[in-house]
Amino acid sequence: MVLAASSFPHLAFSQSPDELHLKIAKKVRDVWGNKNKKLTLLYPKGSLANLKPVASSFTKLTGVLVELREAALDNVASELLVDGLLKPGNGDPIDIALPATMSLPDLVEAGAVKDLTPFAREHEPIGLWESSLYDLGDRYKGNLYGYQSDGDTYMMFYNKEWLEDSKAKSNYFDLYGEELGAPKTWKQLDRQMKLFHDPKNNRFGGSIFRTKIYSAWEFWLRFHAKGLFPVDDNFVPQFNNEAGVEALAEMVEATKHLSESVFEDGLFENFDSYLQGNKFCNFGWGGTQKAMVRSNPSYAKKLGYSSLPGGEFDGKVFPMSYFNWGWNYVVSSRSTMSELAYLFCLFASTPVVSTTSVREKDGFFDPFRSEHYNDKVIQEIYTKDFLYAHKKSLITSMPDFYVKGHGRYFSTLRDALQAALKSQVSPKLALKKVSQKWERITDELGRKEQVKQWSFIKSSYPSGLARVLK
Amino acid sequence: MNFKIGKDYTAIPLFILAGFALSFYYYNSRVEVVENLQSESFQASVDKNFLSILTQIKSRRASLDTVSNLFAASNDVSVKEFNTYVRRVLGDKQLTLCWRDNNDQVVSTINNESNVCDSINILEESQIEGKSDPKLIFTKFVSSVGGQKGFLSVAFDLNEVHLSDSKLIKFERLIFNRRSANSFFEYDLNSRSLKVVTEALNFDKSLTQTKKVASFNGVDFFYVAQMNKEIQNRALFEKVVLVSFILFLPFFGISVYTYFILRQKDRITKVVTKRT
Repeated sequence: MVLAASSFPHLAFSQSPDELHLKIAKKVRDVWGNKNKKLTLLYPKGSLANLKPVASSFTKLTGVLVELREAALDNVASELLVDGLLKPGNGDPIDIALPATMSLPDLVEAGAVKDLTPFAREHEPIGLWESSLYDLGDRYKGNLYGYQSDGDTYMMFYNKEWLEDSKAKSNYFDLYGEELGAPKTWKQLDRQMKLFHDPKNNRFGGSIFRTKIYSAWEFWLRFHAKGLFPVDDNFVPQFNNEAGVEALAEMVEATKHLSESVFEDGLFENFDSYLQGNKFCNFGWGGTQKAMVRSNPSYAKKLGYSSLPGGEFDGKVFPMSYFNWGWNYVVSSRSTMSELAYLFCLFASTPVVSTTSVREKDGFFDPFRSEHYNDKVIQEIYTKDFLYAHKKSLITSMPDFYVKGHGRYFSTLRDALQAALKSQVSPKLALKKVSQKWERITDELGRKEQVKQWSFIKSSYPSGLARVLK
Repeated sequence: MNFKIGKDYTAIPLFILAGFALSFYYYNSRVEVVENLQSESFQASVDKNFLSILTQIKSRRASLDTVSNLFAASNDVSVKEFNTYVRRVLGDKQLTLCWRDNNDQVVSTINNESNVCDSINILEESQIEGKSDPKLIFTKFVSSVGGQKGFLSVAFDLNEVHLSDSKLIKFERLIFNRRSANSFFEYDLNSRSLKVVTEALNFDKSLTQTKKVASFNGVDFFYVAQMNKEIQNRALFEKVVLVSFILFLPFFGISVYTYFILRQKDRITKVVTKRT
């Protein structure tokens, strides 16, 4: 988005995109090159392959070493917070980390990451943002805190062959009076999962996430598809009503048509499960597609891809895309070499370096710049069909809920959804409890501030979607 | 003549200085040993309190599993059965137990004098509630063989966490990190107060021990203890000071003696010089 490009006065240099990283490397080498410097980078499990070429290239060009330290997939932000708040002092402090983009507001509010705005004013080259397709999560309350590394728009995968089966087509038409085709709405997807769910013959409607951490995204989308924003203009949650209960009840019902292991399957187990080829649909990211093509290329050819199902407004379908994850290069507030650490982040975000990172088929980082989509190696890794759908979804993605206390809001939501999905409580009670807790959190954190931030996020929704949501 | 006398006197402060250096060297090396001993004792106290906290937290969490076994093994659980079972298995453990059905209605409570059961959110697996009387609450879904569904919560008063006193420990804290919520709470075991951690805790790294106690119900528990910088073993410290002083005394004594001898010598020399 070019929006970000205009946020900073460019005191720095103007360069061809292919040379930006060299210019940054030269700056680093001139100041820190021969001083035995070492940066420590905390990364999420599964992305080592993406980071190795970035780190080795940086070391080669600058002489500064980069130590890569692994954290559990869902714990990068937590580890960074522990390191930043408790300062346990084991080993070198973390200089750079790659927390999930959604965690950035909490990290900023806790003072665990540095404001990169002053560094960006000094060093950020002109042209860096021009080809970036999603950078809303890099900023919080107007300041820059991180650089995106992964185009994590949430997508739908479905088995095209199953959709073309004549018996399935005729059954579907008989049941619902419409043609069987790629699902465009949640209602269609739910119907199709039900149609294909046949556990006795080892076929399942889907392998969509039902773990506590990952299932909230689906509810978020299903709820939006009902035509409502998650909170109103006073930051009062809008879940506790008929639309919310209906969305959750439909999600609970859909769970009956998923494979049995969905409540236990984390990210990598989900990849493996869908690779078995006996599930109609799945939700995932470019990383999911990478895993498919890498492990079972012939099966990957049978898959169709699209944005997630949308809702219906005035008889028309409104499509929905959601940037629900992503990983940001951030500089830890404990780093004693913050400028150097910043320059590493900047180096990693340049078109050439980020392309080499996304090219790694064993890591889950996905395209997020125009250059990535034109790269031959990346096209081979993902397939052109997928990249077409991915880019379309990324460009039209609605932003995540980047507000202070994101973790607290979503933790409450996840707990409640999990209880409802496991039929421990009714959807109505679950959403009533969520709403009550969200109100309490908002009162604690300060409603005025939340209203202001929400107003900004709301204005960042794609215009087509924002028009139909209330 | 005068020159010779001056040279003799110069030796005295040098001798005193040598004595002082020896005494100082002894003092420093001994104090270092005392500090190391103190550091080792501090470490032992930290390990002991760490284990004690671990045991206390685990015991509370285990109580929840113990009580939930009643539901797993029963067709239906009545309030009477629940109360009898809880009192039998938990004995005199001072725990607050809350049983709510899956419509969020309170079915039964045990030791609910503080009315904490009224404020529990059954859908949160862990909660930290109350500022003046903080409680750590764990909640678990239970279901009986007959299809009865509900939620059991165990709340324990953080003020009941007891650790052995040690003069070597300046302060002790319990830090709770609710991972999924990115939120931190700090419970001061000395002042018995709870606060939300919103900024870095600037502990003196060289004096502080931070240990991860355990992870339950999405909460990471950390125990933080800071060592008392002042030497606590006063007797040993005083002994070191005394020995250092004793070491210095002979040097001082000999110097004073030499001074008087030289003074005497000067006087005689002066008298002899006058007469001759």
